Amino acid sequence: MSDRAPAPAGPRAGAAPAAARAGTPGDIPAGIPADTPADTHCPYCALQCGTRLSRAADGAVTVRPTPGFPVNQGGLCQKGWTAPALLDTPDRLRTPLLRDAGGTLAPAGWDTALDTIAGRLRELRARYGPDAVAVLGGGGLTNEKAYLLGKFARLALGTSQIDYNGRFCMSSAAAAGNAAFGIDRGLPFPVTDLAGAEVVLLAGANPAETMPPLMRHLDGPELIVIDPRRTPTAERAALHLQPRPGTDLALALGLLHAAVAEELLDHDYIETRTTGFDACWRQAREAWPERVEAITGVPAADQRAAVRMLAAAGRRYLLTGRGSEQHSTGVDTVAAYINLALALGMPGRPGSGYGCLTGQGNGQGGREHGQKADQLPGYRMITDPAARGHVARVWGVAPEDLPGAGRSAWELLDSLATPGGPRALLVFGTNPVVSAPHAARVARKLAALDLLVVADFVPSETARLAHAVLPVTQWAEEDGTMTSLEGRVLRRRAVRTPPPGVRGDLDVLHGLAVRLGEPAARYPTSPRAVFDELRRASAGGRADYSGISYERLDSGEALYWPCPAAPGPGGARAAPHPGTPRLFLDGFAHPDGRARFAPVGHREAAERTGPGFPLHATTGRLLAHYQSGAQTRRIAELTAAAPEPEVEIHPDTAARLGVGDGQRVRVSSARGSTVARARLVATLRTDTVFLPFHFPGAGRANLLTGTALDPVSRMPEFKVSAVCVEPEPAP
Amino acid sequence: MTTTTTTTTTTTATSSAATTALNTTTGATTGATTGNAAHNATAGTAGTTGARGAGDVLILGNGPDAVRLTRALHRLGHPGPVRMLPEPVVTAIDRRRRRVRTADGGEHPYGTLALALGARPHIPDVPGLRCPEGQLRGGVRVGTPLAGPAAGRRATTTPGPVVVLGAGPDGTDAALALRRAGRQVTVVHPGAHPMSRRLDRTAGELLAGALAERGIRVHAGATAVEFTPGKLTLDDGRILEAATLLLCTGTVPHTRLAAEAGLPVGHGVLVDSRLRTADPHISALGSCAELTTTADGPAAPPAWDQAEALAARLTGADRTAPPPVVRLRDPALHLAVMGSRQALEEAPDQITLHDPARGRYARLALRRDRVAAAVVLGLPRAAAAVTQLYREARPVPAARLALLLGTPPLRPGAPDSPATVVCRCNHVTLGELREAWDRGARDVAALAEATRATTGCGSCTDEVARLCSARTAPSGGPGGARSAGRGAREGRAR
Ligand SMILES: Cc1cc2nc3c(=O)[nH]c(=O)nc-3n(C[C@H](O)[C@H](O)[C@@H](O)COP(=O)(O)OP(=O)(O)OC[C@H]3O[C@@H](n4cnc5c(N)ncnc54)[C@H](O)[C@@H]3O)c2cc1C
Ligand code: SF4
Repeated sequence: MSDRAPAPAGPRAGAAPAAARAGTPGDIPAGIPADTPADTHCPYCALQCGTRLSRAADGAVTVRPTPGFPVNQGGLCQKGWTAPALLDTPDRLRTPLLRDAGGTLAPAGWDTALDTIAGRLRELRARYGPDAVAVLGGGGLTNEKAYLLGKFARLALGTSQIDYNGRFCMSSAAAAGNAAFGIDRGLPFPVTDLAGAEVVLLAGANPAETMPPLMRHLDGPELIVIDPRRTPTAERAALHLQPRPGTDLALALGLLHAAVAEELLDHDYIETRTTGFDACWRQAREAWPERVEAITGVPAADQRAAVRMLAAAGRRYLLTGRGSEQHSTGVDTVAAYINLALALGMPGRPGSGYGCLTGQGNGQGGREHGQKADQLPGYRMITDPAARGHVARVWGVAPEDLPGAGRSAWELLDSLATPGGPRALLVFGTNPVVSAPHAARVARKLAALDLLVVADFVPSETARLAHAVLPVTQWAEEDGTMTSLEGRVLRRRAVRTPPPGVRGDLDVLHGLAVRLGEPAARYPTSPRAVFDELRRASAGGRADYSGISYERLDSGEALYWPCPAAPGPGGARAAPHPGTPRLFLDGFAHPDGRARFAPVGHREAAERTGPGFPLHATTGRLLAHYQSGAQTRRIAELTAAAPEPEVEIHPDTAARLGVGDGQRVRVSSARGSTVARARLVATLRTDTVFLPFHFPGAGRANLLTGTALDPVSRMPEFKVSAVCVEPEPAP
Repeated sequence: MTTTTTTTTTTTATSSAATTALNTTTGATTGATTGNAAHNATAGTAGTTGARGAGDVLILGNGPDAVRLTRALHRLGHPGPVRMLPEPVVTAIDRRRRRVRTADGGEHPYGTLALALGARPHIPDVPGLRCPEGQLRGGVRVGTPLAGPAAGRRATTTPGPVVVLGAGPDGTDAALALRRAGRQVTVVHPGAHPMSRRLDRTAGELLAGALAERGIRVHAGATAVEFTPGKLTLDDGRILEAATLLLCTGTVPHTRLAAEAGLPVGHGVLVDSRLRTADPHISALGSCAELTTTADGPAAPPAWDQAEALAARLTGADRTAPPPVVRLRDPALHLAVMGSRQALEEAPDQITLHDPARGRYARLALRRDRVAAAVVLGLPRAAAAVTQLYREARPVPAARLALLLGTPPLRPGAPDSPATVVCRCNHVTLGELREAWDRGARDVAALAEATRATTGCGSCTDEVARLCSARTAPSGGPGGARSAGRGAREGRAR
């Protein structure tokens, strides 16, 4: 299947009649005057670089870094610079599609499409009950969309079966962070604080490729990088620890052991600001560095050196990324790194701390407002009666009307079309056919559904399998808010009217809800109205947005949650709450104000290499692409930079397999196989290959990945599978 | 019903008294475990009769090895009951009927029996070590594996000189730890040099030298003949001051039950690399077991690996435990030993690196490109890399010197080709930068504007600046480096 985006040569979207959508209700801005630059943010990753978009009279949109936006400091990566091309992608979806009797997706009017979908949903619900319909959301959706999607699922569909792709992204760090600190915010401090550090340890993160402008803040500090690959980030490190894939937990335990054995602990801090050290140490005391060396391959001397560097620095940070988190041991691994940070007295101190580098554009906000199976808006737990009561009040329903917790993303996908599992799935902002583990199985499950509905702006691989496709707006055509990796709430702004035939997601949810018999007023279509409701729903929750408003954001305030509506000290006439750029300085978010050490011990990855599958495969991202590539593979400049899947392999390993540089190979695991070109990389471990997961069809890295889940976060084990590699004859 | 203290747990139960006391935690993180399949197989109880399936696991012993195995089985979702029986109450293993008998007359049937019986320290037969009542005399202590600067302090609190008896891996580690804690240490060892059972002469002499350098006195080729409080007499007549005598003279695996049941026993209970004894229903792990695959007696048992490997096998995977590696735990003396002395001498392909001036030595004995045995001293990175290759039986890379000495950092120093990518974040090549220069972009800011180079992570700014100065007359330096990016070429839709 050829999915290469042709060079964008189609008609200019700007040529669309600007007034075409005038008067449409909803989140679609009617005609925007040309030449009014709008400050918004890059459509892709969680760094949310500030971008200033201008629209010429002919509709063409240009981008520049927003001057003065502190996160990207005038920088953008190639993805950010080329993002405007996405607005004019030639295969943009411009009309709803319904699969006809002959099995082809054919254009349909909006009313027909929504009537058909709502009718099918009603039938399935009547026959099989409300949990027969499931929803899968995404971490790229604005806060408003994520919030309304969760409300729509719980009220209009009455289903408990909603989850989102963030399970595949940061759920492990979220679970570990909540347990340790009582709150999960990617970075509990502004990104710019990093620049003041003397030492930063990056565990399983490669920002030099995945978030280049972040490196501007990491110019000064000495870096310790933990990654099985010698990435561009690792090349910049003072110390690079290169563990065998799947042994990150052992390494984190070894570092704590070294800190204890070398007497580098901050006893005062442990005494006054934490609990649980003894139980944690009982688990870690067996992880002496030499034992950890045998398991991980990281020299004991380097483990000690890393800990000494951290301990000797006055200002230091420890950051985790997907490399630590995307494991069946992900929560314990992050917890073990947090244990290390706590033992050295880092979190909640000015100039030091622990953080997780969130991946997706709205990965942070997307997990706070109710599209997660077990959560309600404001980071409330759906099982907590008080939380249910509060949200039910805001929504004008009885608490009993809210369903309970549903299945996590992988379990949800795996239960589709099984007895007792959902028979219909609505997909918003994710492309699981490419990005979910064991992708071939996911594709089979989706194909077996009675109804698959996909809302997207391009015909993604998942959309192509759908019974109904709904064309929705994209970043520069919509208003809303995003919450970046530092917990700052940012305004996304429209600069251009969407093409005719395209509707906003809020509109789509409204249209479906009304057809399912819901009161129209319950599903506002204006982002501002949804945000105002979200503020109320989040009030008093862990992620409290009630004090944040479009007015405050538009006036240029930098607001980090929690930001309650209740005024600060000084009573009702005091200034509004300033938000919380830095969490934990006065205490952690547990009732006793103390952080919790987690008693985690050694565990292995779910899958080991063996005679049939002798190599470890690990997956990740490339600079030129984002996530499943549905967006970036449609941009000529990015496709030119990384046109097709390449598997990185050590030259020795390749030579033993009779594989040369650039040769096609087949990589196979117990689940399936994928075809890619070999790229020989001498700095790789000889026992490891690396595949990017951005490519579709036979080049999907996720055809290999397994379905072992973390017991707490339900994160799949993306970062290690056992594989074999063999030469593949030319097609 | 009997009163035997059997601990019965199932795959989901984690809180039986014995396991709690030993800090077993499955699902160790705080927070609720969502949706874990509850197996809750009914537990077998003591004294019942009837044949048991292989999934019914009885573990003899309740020490760390037993706890690790229990935990690993729980975690892997072992479907059957897992029971632990402390060794002292067991009187016999009836292999034919697959039962274990206890002192109170109880009978415990098993499907699979795992011996995790542990070992006790070996106390040599030296006059004066024990009181008439049999316990060790004041000043005599048994060494346990030690690490960290605090370890030496933990080993003994009695002030005064310490004599370490036995310079195997544990004795050598203990001596080093005590020395790091500032103690006066003497080592007495019967072999020609420390760790003589493991090290060839070259390595042994380097190690002896390293100990001496740290101020540890080594009496090699000597044995103790008598201990009196404060003094140890050697066979050559020397008398050493010994406020503390630390015995590091090896361990004696608990093998009695296995031997009486007719299982082959050497130093420990003999097992293959899958930890199977001669009886297909009985496995052994940890310090009571001896691998038949390593000819040279027990090494520090890799208990994590063995518990994981055995648990994996009992839950259906075909797993071998990686072979043990001897690794000293001193933070500054990097010594790793793999395989037997015999394999080290006999393997056909030998690689040796010897740098006595810097205390570095590596000897790799290879067979079919795999590490059969190795000694690595003073080379911390190589110790780690060779250990991984050995444990996983992976082929040794072609660049063997790089394996031992490390790979130089890969900075190819920008070959002067137009295709060289200078700005990785925006994929800008040297050729494109030169072209932009020729079209009039004469400083970093202008080049950034024209090509977007330097506008991602910013790390190529210096290189772009160098390119400017190289092309400009000597007077035109780099300049404006950091302001780059502000005025970059606009990204445009089409
Ligand atoms: C296969 C896959 C699927 C994903 N799917 C989704 C999705 O559907 N939705 C979503 O929101 N997010 C998904 N993500 C996460 C998404 O990539 C992150 O959001 C992204 O921002 C991660 O950035 P990163 O810097 O962690 O880069 P990544 O490239 O993802 O990984 C960081 C680094 O970790 C390194 N690494 C690999 N293994 C280890 C290890 N064992 N120890 C340490 N480092 C290691 C890699 O070499 C890489 O350099 C997926 C990630 C992967 C790999
Ligand atoms: S993809 Fe991320 S790093 Fe690149 S420009 Fe966009 S927000 Fe910035």
